[in-house]
Order: sequence, then structure tokens, then C-alpha cells
Amino acid sequence: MDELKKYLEDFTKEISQAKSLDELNRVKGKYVGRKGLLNRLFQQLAQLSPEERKNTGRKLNQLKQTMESMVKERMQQMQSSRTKIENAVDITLPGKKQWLGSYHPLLIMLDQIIAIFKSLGFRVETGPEIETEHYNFEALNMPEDHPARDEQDSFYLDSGYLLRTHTSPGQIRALQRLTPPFKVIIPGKCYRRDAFDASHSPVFHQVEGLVVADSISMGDLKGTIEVFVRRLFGPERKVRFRPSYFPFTEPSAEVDISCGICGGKGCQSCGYSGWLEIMGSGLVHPNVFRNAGCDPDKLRGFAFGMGVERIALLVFGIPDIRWFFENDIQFLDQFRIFR
Amino acid sequence: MKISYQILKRYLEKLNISPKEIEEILTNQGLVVERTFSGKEIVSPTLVAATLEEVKEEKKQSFCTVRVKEQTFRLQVESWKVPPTGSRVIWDKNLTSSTLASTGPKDSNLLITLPAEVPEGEEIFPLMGGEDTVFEVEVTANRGDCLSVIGLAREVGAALDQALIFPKVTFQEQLESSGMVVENQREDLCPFYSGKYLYQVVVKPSPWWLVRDLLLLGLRPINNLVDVTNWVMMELGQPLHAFDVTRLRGRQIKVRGAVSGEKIITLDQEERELTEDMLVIADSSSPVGIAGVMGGFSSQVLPQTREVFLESAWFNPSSIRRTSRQLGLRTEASRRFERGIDPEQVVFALERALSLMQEIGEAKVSREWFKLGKLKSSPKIVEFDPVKVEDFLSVEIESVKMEKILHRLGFEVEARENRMLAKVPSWRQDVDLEVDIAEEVGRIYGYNRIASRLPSFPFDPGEEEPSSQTERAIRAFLVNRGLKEIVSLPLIGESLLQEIGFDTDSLVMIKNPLSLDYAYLRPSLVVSVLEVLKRNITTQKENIGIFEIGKVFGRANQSTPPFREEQRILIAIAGQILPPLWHEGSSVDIFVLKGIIEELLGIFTPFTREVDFYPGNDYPDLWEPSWSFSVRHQEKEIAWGGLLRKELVRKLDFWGDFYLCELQFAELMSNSVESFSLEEIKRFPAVLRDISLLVEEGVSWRAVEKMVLSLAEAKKLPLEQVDLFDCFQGGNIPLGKKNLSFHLIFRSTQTTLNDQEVDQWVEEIKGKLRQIPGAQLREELTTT
Ligand SMILES: [Zn+2]
Repeated sequence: MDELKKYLEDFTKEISQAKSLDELNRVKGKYVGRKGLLNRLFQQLAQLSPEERKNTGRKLNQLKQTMESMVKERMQQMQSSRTKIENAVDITLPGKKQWLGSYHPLLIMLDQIIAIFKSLGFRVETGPEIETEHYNFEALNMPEDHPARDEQDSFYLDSGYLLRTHTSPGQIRALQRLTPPFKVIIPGKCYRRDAFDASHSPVFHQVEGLVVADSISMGDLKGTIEVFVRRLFGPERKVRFRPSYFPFTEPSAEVDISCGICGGKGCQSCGYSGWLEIMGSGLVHPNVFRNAGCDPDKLRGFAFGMGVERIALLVFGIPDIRWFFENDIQFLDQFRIFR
Repeated sequence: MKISYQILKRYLEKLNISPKEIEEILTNQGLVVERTFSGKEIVSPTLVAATLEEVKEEKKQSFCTVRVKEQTFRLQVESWKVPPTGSRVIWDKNLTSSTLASTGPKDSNLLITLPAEVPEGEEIFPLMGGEDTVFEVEVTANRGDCLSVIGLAREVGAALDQALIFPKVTFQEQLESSGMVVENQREDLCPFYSGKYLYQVVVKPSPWWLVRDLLLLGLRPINNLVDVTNWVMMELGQPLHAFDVTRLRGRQIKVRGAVSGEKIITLDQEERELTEDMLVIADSSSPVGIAGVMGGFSSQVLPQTREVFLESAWFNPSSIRRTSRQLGLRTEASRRFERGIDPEQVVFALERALSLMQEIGEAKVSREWFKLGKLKSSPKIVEFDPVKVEDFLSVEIESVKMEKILHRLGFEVEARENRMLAKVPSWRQDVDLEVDIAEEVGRIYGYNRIASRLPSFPFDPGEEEPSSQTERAIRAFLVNRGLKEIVSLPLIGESLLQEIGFDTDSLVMIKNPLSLDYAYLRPSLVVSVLEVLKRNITTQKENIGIFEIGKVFGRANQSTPPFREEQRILIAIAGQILPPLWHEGSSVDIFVLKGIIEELLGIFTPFTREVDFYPGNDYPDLWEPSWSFSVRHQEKEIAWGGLLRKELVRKLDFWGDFYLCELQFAELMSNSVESFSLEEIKRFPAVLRDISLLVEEGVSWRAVEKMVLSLAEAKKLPLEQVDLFDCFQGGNIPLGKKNLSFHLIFRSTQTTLNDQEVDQWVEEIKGKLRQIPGAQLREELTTT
């Protein structure tokens, strides 16, 4: 075996001394060619016992491959002008890159929101974007002519269907499908008949949340949302619960977080109030339970709904909601740092 | 709803907190103060008093001359709005004769009448009696009662535990009869209608305090009569309307349904066509007002009016809401009626207006009362358990405190054993249930006192839906593959669909689109991505690699719902394969796209080679002829794509070569890995052989590859891979032929292969390939 070691050493020395392709080919012929030592050893294999043959064979094969790759490498060195070892490489030349992919900022935000709720033990469900008036309004305690419907101007299709104006119909579907107690979020696209401007889009995303058990109260809602806000926006942000009105919750609360730009002192982004509205919430209205076929005397729950665009605008400091749907490559490329 | 600090003060026992604190109280009780203004901001410092010198008719147009100190200005006005010559009016001192000429001066808003005692040329603000703060409050849909000064004062009073000071009512009545006929034909839409007859009325400017209050609350002072009706609406939340009786034909008021096609010119001088389900106030021949929405132009109170019918009614909220929406006419009155006004205050508001009329002006009131219909007056009683209220809210609160809060909000509370009974005030139609009581208590007690906790109960959220898992895996793969995720609009335009040649009949149409550009739901992601491609190309962002996972929509006529929504994946590439740097670049082509698709499918259909690409697909208009393909798995189409038709790109005003593919998400789902079997690791050396084959150009590579693979399978050859490394036409290749060069890589899992046996297998393969008609083996190259 020392013989092989010596053989490799000699070979290494000779190929490094080779100055031309011709010389290199000569060295290759001498060591790896038909008349070389290696070939002779291969021929002797037949005389060995099967066990030895397998072992030695493998070693010879490895040696052969090593020597061949060394020849190849030396050959490339000779052929390449740029990477000649003798000339120092210009390491300031740009690296050879690939295009980098990126996730869309809205979906980055949505993924983060979902991840937080999953870590709190929520299940994720989806629902259809084409809904009936029943699921979108009536079952949510918004009968025809309800003034709250004004704020949710809908796109109507034929046969009494419409594009869902919020993810709240998911509450009814979840109540019908899941057995309490449960915690669920329902993310998805929604549609409202709002013309495009810097803060409105006819297409947007929401995340609906619903927790149902027999002893839910406002404290459960508040605690859950506080944890969510701290995780998403950071521990220094304050949360404020403020009474509000939604037909499908009672009591209802709007959730505000302290403005991240002015730290709550008041600035242009927060309308000088120091607070930013991020979601609506409340205890599930007894009529909603009833409309979903559940008994409001036996069940209680809390629900919340938030707009993903609004949160993404805040988190990334994007000035205009339309940027999300333009999909300008330069805009998208900036989000490649988010995995 | 606007309210000012000084006005609020008049309605509470003792308001001794700052405007800032008022703002916090209202916001924390669910009445968000959206903005605050100083009185100065509202009554701009540039406004000064002026004198109206002269009003003239010229060629059917009215002009007036206004004097501010020595200067005079002439402007065109609507004659019916002009106060009498000699009145004091408001003037913007920045207005000059030249700006008036250039802006087309129809600004009779400046002709707000001031009391005569205001000296000419004086700024208005110092006359306001000191600074004030105006709060603009957002009132939620359930709280019509807070569209009034009294309602907001009650809220502040509840927070401060202070009693409300109610306005006083005193007026004199005369024996004089009106000679009017008032009739209500639609008690369904107008359960209660009341009115009073006023005569010997003198219409003139309102006193300064009323002008001031109206200006602060954002209303335009007109004359004492109109101003009083507006003020009472702001004060009590009850809209009133005054009719000039001499201009009511037949001295009649009829509450009736509109006749279809009937027309009325409303106060804003617009002609509006009415439909049958709308409620109107009419005289003996035609409508003189749209009930609860807006009065008519013809019967309005003018400076010369002497006899007035003052209306106060309770209209059906749904009816008002429908009418106002249908006409696109939202007014201060309709906003209040559609939320439901306090039924017990309808008559009181009328009396309040009469008192004010007599207080600030001259008006005689007939003792005749018109009251038609009846309002139900059985008060709602809500039973609640204080312990349960505490539990709902997660707060500890004594029942005495609870009672106090409810009392200040107007509830009458009575204890009965362990429970309590709350009589709901007439202005709170929104309160029905125990949870509603909980909200009332919570609002005033403070949501900030809710004790946070986390829900705790055993719940297994279960596995993620398989589709979400698949979606996440696809997104991760495509992002790692260098593509950018997009979110395009599912709403698309009719003209675009027509350019592409989609039959719009088969698509899902929106009945009330924002515009024709957003009138349909996309039948394919390809359609909505066109806009994205165009936007990038036209701003010189030409290296594009994007993808989207989203829904497409179609009709499904036999099923419920009669629509189908389906998840699809779109991939689009254009431009350079690699970032252009100091090496030579090359452009993407259809095989770069195919590579991505194959890799993607490889993740979801591993260890199978059952996916095939076929030329052509179902959307010939989208693609360059002979550059389109469809992908099938077991004869089912799972994807389609190609090179976007250049003519279409040109038609849409952009340029470039775009390779697109759309895949059916569900198909990837059904093909995802269910069982996994581990392959043995190959530890013996591989042997490589190359074959160069000349074939007719119509012979596909896939056919050649399949032939080799099936032979290897049949003969159990340890063929590991077949790699095409060259496909070449032209040069020294005969016309109509092409050269296919490929590696065959053999490797056994059992033993080191020897050259002789490999050569023999290659010969067998070559023999098979020779059977392809017109095929010829070219030089054979062997490497070791
Ligand atoms: Zn701020």
C-alpha cells in the first residue's frame, strides 16, 4: 500500500510541474494509462481471494478517480485565463447570483397572523368567497334594511348571491361544523363596493376569529388580543378596548393600538389621536348562535375580525393600499428578506 | 354629529372638566371623537360682517351688491336665498373683485344673515363670546339618540354622574283656526304624524346666539324659522319641517305613497323622480316633500312667508332608508329617521320649536293640534342578573354602581329577588337583552377595567387542512425557485375579456360593478396577471418571474350555488434567466418554464413519470400558434400554458415574450405523496455511454426516451438515467432531420459493472432505436 501512496505523491508532483497540455497528457498516460502501474495492479486482482479482491478493487478505483479528477482540474487551470492561480483573483468582481424569490407582503402578514393564532391553539378554516345574503348578513343579525349594511356595500351576483363583504360568514359555518368548545380563525379575501383610493380597495383580506365555550367573557377576548398584539407589533405597544357597535357581537369592542410612529403622542398617521384602530371584536350575539342552530343559553363565545391590508400598511410603512395589487417587481423584491 | 363644549355645558348640571377630558369620555364610551376643532378654526378669522346693499334682477338673473367698509362687491346669487336689502351678512375679506370674477361667483353661502347689531367690517370670531371646542363625534348605527345634543350630554352626564338639564317649553296659543286639512293615508310607513299651524309669522335673521350655535355645529343659518327647526333637530334629534301654508294647494297636507313616475323639485333644486314605495307629503295635487328626507322647493319658507305648517313625525326607518338610498339623497333628517328617533319626543320637539319661535321671533300659534296615528307605548323591560353582567364583562362592580349607571342613561331599574328589571328608555330601541345591559354598564364603567385572561379549555385544533399544507409547500418551492409571489385583482374588465376572446356569457358577472373595468370575476389567473405584466414592462422592469395562487370563478348552472370557485396556480416568466452581470446572459424560453413545472410536479408526483406534455390547449387565442401546451396526468388536463400571443400583447399596449402556465391546484392535491418507499443508495461506480441519433424531425424526444426506458425495464437493465444533452438541427444535419445526443448512465446496486456487459446493453438499445423509421445512429462516443 505504501507503493500506492508513493505512486500518488510522484503523480502529484509531476502534474503540478507540467507546463503544457501535451506534457500533462504524457503524465496522465504514464500513471493512469494502459501501461501504468495502476492498470497492472487491476490485472493482478484476479489472483486475490474474493474478500481481498473487493477491498483492493475499491481502493484502486478510488485512486483512479482521484488521479483523473486531478488531471481534469489541472487542465482547467491551464485553460482558464481568469482563474489562473498565478494571477491573483479580483475578488471585487461581482458574484454570480440567481434571481431571488419573495413572498407577497400581504401574505407575509397573513402568515404571521395565522402563525400567532396557531401557537395559541387556534384551528384554521377557510370559506367560499361567493356567499348568500343569509350567511353574509341575515345570520349575522343584519336583516334587510339594517343600517349597518350601509357600511358594507356589496357586489351582487345573480340568483341572490354576493361576494362576501367580510370573513364573518365563517363564524356561522364554523358553528355549524365544529363541536364546541373550539378556537378557530378564518382568513380570506373579501370584497366591498369601495372605489380605489390610498386607503380603500374593492378587494381586501380579513382574518376572522371565533372562540366558543360555555364560559367565555370579555376578559378572554381582551387577554387573547393583547397577546396577539404584543407578538405582532412588539411588547412596547399599548392596547385599548373601546366600546363599539357590530350587529353580530354584544358587547362589542373596537381594538386600538398605540401609534408606533409617535408612540401615542399624536401625529399625522394616527390622526393626532395617538391610537390606531386595528380590529373589531366582541362577545358573540345570542342571535348569531340561534341563527347557526346553537343554544345561546348554553354557549358563549368571542369573535374578532381584522383587515390584513391595514395591518400590513402599518407594519411595513406602505403609504398606499393600491401598491399591494400593482405587484411592481421593485416593490415585491424588497420583501425577499421575509421568509 | 358635531357638538361644542360651550353648548354641552348648558345641558349638564355642572360641567367642570376640560374639553380634552370630554373627548376621552366620549371615545371611551363608544362615541369616537374623530376630530376636534377650535371655534376659531370653524369661524374663520377672515370672515367679517358686511351689508347687503342692493338686490337686482337682470335678464332673469339676480345680482346683489355687498358693502364691506368702503368697498363694494357685486355677485350673482340665487334670488330665493337672498336676505332683504340692508341686512348684515357674512363676507370673506380675502375675496376681491377679481377673484369673484374668476371663480364664477354664485357663492350665496356668504350671504348668511347676521343680526343687525354686528358692526360692518368686524371679524366674526371675536363676537362668538370666547373660544370654544367643537367635537366631531362618530355615531354608530345603533345610536340614533346620540345624533343630538341631548343624547351626547346624557352620555357625558352618565360618566360624570350628573343630571341632564332638559330644555323648557312655554308658548302661547290662539283660538284662530288654520282652515287646513291634514290626512295620513299610510300609517304603515308613518305611524305618527303631528303638526301645528303658525300665522302672522315674521321671517327675519336669527339672533346672534342661534347663528353662532348653528355655525359651530356646521349648519348654515338661513332665517329664524328654518334655523329653529334645524336647531331643534340638533338639540333633540327630531327633524322638523316647515311648510309655507299659502303655497300648499287646497291648504292640504296628505301623507301618502308616491305615484310611480311622479316628480318633485327638492330644496336643493334638483328634480327627482319618485317610485311607488316612497312616502311623500303632498298638497291637494302634488308632492311638496319627500317624507323624512327633504322638503320640496315650492313650499319652502321664504322671507315673505306669513303662515306656516310645522311638521313633526315618526317615519318608518326602513322606508326612509330605502328611499334615501334609492334617490342617493342622504340628509341630516334621513340619517336620524332611518336609525329610529325617540317616539316619545315627537310632540315635545314640536312644542320646543314653537317656544323658540315665540322667544326669538314673532309668531302666533293656533291651538289646533294635528295628530294622526299612534305610537306604541309599551315600554320594554329587560331582566338581568348583576352577577352575570359582571361575568360577561370580567369586572367586579357593585350592583349599586350598576344601577346608578343605568339610571343616568335613562333606565328605570328595580330589584326583584336576585335579579333586576330595567325599563328601557324610549330613545334606546337598540337595547333588548341581558348582554345589551352588560354593554351599557361596561361602556360607562370602562372597558379598561376588564380583567384580561386567556380562555382555557381542552381543544385539539387538529391537523391543518391538507390544501393549506399543499399551498404552503407550493409557495415555498416557487419562492425558493426565485419567483415572486403576487396578489392580483380577481375583478376584471369586459373589454379585456373581449380582447382575449373569452365568451362573457359563461362568466360570473357582477350586477353592480364599480365600473366596466371590474365587472367580471376572473375565469383564469392568466387574465388578471396581464395587467401586472403590463405594469412592470411599461416601467422597464423586464425580468419577470412571478406566481400567484388564487381563486378563479365560473358558472355551474345545475348546482347550488350556481357558481364554482376553484384554486389555481399561475407562473409567468420573461426576460433573463439569470441576473445580468459580467457574464453572458440568455433569455428565458419555454423550456425554462417547463423546467419549473416539472420540478413542481416532481414534488407532488414523485417517483412517477405519468405526467405528459402535449402540444396545444383549449385557449388558442391566448397563445402563439404552436407554442402552447397542455399537461396531462392519466389523461386528465392538469395545466396549460405557452408563449403569450404577441398580437394580444400588442393590443394591450405592451411588448415582450411571456411564458405562462396555469395549474389546477386540486390536481396537485390529489397527487400528493401518500406512501413513501426509500430508494437504496448506490455505492458502486456508474458507467456512462453516449448515443447520438439522427431521426426525422417529427419524432419527439419523449418517444425516443420512452423506447429506451421501456426496453431497460423489460430487460431489467440497471439504467439509472437518460439525459438529453443536445438537440440539434441545421449545420451538417440533413434537411428534415434532427440530431439527439444523450447520456445513458448505468449503475448497479449490487456490483461494479464491467465494460463488456455495458457495451452489450448499449448495443441492444441501439438495435431498438434503429427500428425507428428513418433513424440512424451517428458516431458513437464512449468515455470511461
Ligand atoms: Zn401617531
